[in-house]
Amino acid sequence: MEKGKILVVEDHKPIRDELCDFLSRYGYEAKPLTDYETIIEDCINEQADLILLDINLPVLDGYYICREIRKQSEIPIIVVTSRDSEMDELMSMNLGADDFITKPYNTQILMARIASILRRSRKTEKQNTMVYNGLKVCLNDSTAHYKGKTTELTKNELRILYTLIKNQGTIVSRDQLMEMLWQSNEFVDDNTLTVNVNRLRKRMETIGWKNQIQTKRGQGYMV
Amino acid sequence: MTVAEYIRDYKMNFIFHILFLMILTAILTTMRLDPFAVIYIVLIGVLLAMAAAVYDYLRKRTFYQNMKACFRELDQKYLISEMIEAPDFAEGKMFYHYLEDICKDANDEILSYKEQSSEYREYIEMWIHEVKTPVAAMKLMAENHPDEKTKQMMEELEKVEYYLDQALYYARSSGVEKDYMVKELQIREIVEKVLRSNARLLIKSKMKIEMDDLEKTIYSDEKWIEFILKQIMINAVKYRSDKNPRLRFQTRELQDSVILEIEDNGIGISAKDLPKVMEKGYTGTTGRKYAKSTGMGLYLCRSLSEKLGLNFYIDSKEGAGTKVCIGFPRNSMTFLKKEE
Repeated sequence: MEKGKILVVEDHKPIRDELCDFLSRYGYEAKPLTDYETIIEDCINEQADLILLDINLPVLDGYYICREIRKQSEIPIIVVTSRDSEMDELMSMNLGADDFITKPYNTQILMARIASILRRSRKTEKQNTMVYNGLKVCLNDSTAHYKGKTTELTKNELRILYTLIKNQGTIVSRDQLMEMLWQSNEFVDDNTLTVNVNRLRKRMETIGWKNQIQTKRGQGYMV
Repeated sequence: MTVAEYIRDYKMNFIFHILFLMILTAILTTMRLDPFAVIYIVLIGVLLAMAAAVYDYLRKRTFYQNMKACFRELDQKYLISEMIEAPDFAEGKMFYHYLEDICKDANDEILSYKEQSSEYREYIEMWIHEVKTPVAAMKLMAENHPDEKTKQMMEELEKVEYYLDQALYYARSSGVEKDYMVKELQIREIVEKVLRSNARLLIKSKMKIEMDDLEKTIYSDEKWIEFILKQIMINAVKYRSDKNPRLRFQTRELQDSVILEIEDNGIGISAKDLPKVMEKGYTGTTGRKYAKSTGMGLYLCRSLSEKLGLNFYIDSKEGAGTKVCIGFPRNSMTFLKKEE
């Protein structure tokens, strides 16, 4: 699955390598840029979808690079730095960065930001559906279709189903599901999650999609 | 310097002068001078002496009075020599000269300490930012190679990160510079942000989150508020109750402020510890019993709040829970907004 090309501008080699590794595992094409003399031209010539830009770089300062790229291109830039004051953030934003993340970052948050910026920057929005064993889940209008029948899902049910299907074949722990819900400001607790999962099962049964969500005792859920 | 003080100070001068006049009277009388002439001469002597004393008194009074007034108004007393003019009498001149030297010396000393402490602070801040890069690298490595050991490493690294942040904000809280930025913030958004970034910890500890009436606007520095909220939340997790731990966020509106209350049902703070929990390095009895406590968290909350002009206080009952209140003043802030 080709999700997009991301340029990694970072002078700390371990971070650069691991970040590229990490991004590739999530299906992105990650390309490290290390020639700091020509970094601005390289960034523009690469025709990438997004740039992850460190601020403390040899030769040229990240802020300067950011401004220069912005003069010539609208490519989304996420500034990644260990400086974390309001001032640094404001400065990055003023120079045209699209987002600002401080080190050491939570990779889940980094992924979420990358995904949302890429979504925003792409003019031709793909239809947001996922298909699994004949089940079609539409993320845009929050509905599930199975064998000609349709049901509507609540926000939480949709997110749970989405996460389970995305991780099909592997167990998703209850904590993982909760974390995912928390990231969209649904601060559910253990009991609420159980209720949500049970409701989701009932609702899916109404369209004939039965016994597909398995409970793995003490571990989590799986489809 | 009052007149009485002046006379007391120069009493020997006066005594000798009276003595001299008495002797003069005696001599003149023995010389059989006209009594009127004697009185006349003595009177001139008295008047001239008095004129000299008054002149001397006024001259000194101007200088000392001026100094006294300056001294009272000055915030930094060691700047006094800059405020007063050099007097025109000899002892005053000497006094002023020494005062000048003392003040200059004190100023130099203070400046050198200020420089030292700000250099130290700069170094600490730089060091912390420097260390964050390898920490970020280690976290990425741990995440790219998921297994039992790296999961534990991840948790340890998160602790390192937490302590780094504490050190960073300690450096910031003790500096004289005001390096924060006040802007309009939504309480709900900031609470949600802190909850999101600490989701793993809160979920792991089975904390139930309740939020009520958080649609309030405040004016403060986002990063600092996030840090303060994080400290409070970590305390709530550390000292949670064993069953059904709960963390509740709600606001209360007073006439001139919005108060954010963060209430837990944890083990609470004993009445003995409560007045001291915000002191630097105070770990208390529970702090030592339960989890490792550095005694820095609440101290930092308080000093950062002080710098931001917030009201920070804690109410707690042992065994029942703790309530932390952060008061965001509104009057001055709304005023500020109108001016923009």
